[in-house]
Amino acid sequence: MPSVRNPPPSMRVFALQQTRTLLRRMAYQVSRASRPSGPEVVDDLRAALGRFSRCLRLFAQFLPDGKSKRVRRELKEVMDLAATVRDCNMALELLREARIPARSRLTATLSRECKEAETRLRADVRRLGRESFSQKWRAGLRL
Amino acid sequence: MAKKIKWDEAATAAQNARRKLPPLVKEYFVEGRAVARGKPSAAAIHRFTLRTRRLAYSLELFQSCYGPGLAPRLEALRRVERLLQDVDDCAAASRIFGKMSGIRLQRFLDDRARRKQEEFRACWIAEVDAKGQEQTWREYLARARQAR
Repeated sequence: MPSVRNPPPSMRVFALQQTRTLLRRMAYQVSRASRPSGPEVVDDLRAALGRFSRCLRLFAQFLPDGKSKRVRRELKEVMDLAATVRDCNMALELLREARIPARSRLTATLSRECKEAETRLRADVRRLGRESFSQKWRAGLRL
Repeated sequence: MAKKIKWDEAATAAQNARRKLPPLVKEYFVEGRAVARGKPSAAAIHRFTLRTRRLAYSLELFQSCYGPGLAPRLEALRRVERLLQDVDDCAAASRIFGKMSGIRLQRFLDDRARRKQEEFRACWIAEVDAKGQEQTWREYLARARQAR
């Protein structure tokens, strides 16, 4: 039974709490991914971006409409870059599993593309960090 | 899940969860059955992978309204997602390799995709959608309590 002294939070309060929490977690993963790292950091970043994006969509009713859409658009840009890195890593892993030699032309091309994709992703998350995205989004989304 | 959810602002999170989450799961099972029992295209597999991930993320948001029973359900969704992702990866890798992929590599990818799809199908039929599971999921989600 909800107590009189401590009533359950309204749906709006609950939704904004969840959004704040996921933005904070995402900011942590963005900061991790801004340094040279391995595939697991990219996976964690993708999961954090995906969770936050889902939260924005699910609780859109409680967020300023225009800003929420703009944030989702910005998120999509980072998600696409992270997905490219992940796909390259996955394709390299499949080449190893298929026992394609590490010195093959395909592996060399893909390794190069993978490095380029990692550089693009790192540049983008660094840009986000420089622009203090977390504070800006928190203010813009009125969290 | 594609439809926008209209939350009741006058109700609590738990009351909203009780009303809105069971229908999400119902839609998910309908779609999952079509993918598991039919001959889905690569695009259909990709769509259902995303659906699975999104459902898990949506349920996670309401974790504080449920007890420890939610964790094994989320784990089942993650397992389905991993298996589907493995199938989807073969199609994605095939696109990435493009013309550089020889016959041997393409056969490897096709065999792997077939094997993973069978694993997904077995997991879906025997575990996720075993007799009465959908009902159990819906009843469980309809028992949300005050968020902690």
